[in-house]
Formats: sequence, structure tokens, C-alpha cells
Amino acid sequence: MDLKIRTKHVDSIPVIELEGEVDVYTAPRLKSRLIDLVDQGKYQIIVDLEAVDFMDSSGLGVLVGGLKRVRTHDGAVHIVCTKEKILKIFRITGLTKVFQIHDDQNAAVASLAE
Amino acid sequence: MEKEQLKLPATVDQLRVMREFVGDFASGCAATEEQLFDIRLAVSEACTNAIKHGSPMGDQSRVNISCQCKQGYLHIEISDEGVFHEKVSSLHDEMSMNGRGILIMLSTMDKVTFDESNVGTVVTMAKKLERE
Repeated sequence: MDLKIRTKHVDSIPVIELEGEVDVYTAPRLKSRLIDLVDQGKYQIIVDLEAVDFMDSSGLGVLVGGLKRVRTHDGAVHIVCTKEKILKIFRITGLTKVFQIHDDQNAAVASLAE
Repeated sequence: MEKEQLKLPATVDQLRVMREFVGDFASGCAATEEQLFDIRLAVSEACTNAIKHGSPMGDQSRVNISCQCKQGYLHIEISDEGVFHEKVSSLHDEMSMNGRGILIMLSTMDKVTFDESNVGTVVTMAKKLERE
């Protein structure tokens, strides 16, 4: 499966919904979407990984890159994910300490709206 | 089970084919779903390194993958044509954009070795296949 990227806005916060597989082949499209949002002045971003079947370190690198970009504007990237196999990759690499990870989009939006 | 081999161009669009080849083979060795994810993940990391660092002739370079189930273990060998000095990142900088691949391979497989020579790098990995 390829990677599908859908962007919607909840309470004016952009939510990037990913579906499929994120690797070195597909991750550049996610990177472009994150850069586009930052260029539009969106510095609070939610990335929903609930429909992601596979992700490797290339995907993590792009998410960290996005986080670094928004942090220069005092922004944040929050993750939505309950899939154990995807969460495991964040744990292995210590990124559970870097990203706030939520069970659903509502919780992520509420956290960013605080 | 007989050893199976695959040789593909070292290009990123082949990465999914590479990890699914090993995943399908491991599935035939009765790996569990969790083990299959770990195996696909480790193969994706090793093949990404092979494509990015082990292809001096671009899409003319090849990545060779072989796998075999033997004595309860899945053995995987991935070789490329480049010289890449593998470094195990301790990830002191969690905000680094890269350097996580080898850490992931070491965390998901039971054995990982890197053999570097002037004709290429060979990554050998093994995973114990136990039914849960």
C-alpha cells in the first residue's frame, strides 16, 4: 500500500491523517505537507497515525524535522496513535519523550488548545 | 525450508518489495504478526541504508537479499555494493533527523552483524521464531 495523506482542520488546527506505509520512498510527501503548513503559518500541527500500517525511521525523521520547524515558532507537533506496533518504534528511539502522543484527535486538539 | 534470494535495483521505489519479500518468507516460517512487523521493520532499515549508502552506481547498483529458516531462526542477509561505515547511534540527540535505523535493527532482531569490505557491506540478521 502506498501512503495516502489527507489534511483537515479541527478548530483551525491542521490534522494530517496518514494511511498506508511511511518509508524513505513515501516520507518526502509527508515532509512536503509539513513544510507547506509551516509556510502557511501553521505551527500547531496534529499528525494522525491511526491508519498507518508501517513506518520506519525515515518517517520518524520527517516528524522530528517537522517538530524542529514549528518549534522555531514556539509551535508543536502532536501525534495521534494507539497502534502498539507503531508506538513501539517511538519507544525504541526515545521519541515518546519528544512527542506528545494522544489516543484520539479530540484529545490532541484539546491539548493544543490549552 | 529452502533459502530464497532476491536481487533488485538499489532504488527507493523497490524498498517495499524488499521488505515484503522477507515478510512473506517469514510468514511461511510461521512467524507471529508481531515478529513479522519487527522483521519488516529491520529489513526496511537495512535496505534503506543499502540504497542510500551502498549504491555507488545509482540505479545500476543492486541490493541482494537472502533469507532462510533454520533451527527455529529466520536468517536474513542483505548486501550492497557500497562502503558504509555503520555506526550504532546512542541517540544522545533525540532531535536528530536520522541515525535511528541501526538502533531499530538492534532492538527488533536477535542478532545483527555488519561486515564491511571494499566491495560492499553485508548485514546479517537473525530472529528467533517462537510461537506465542
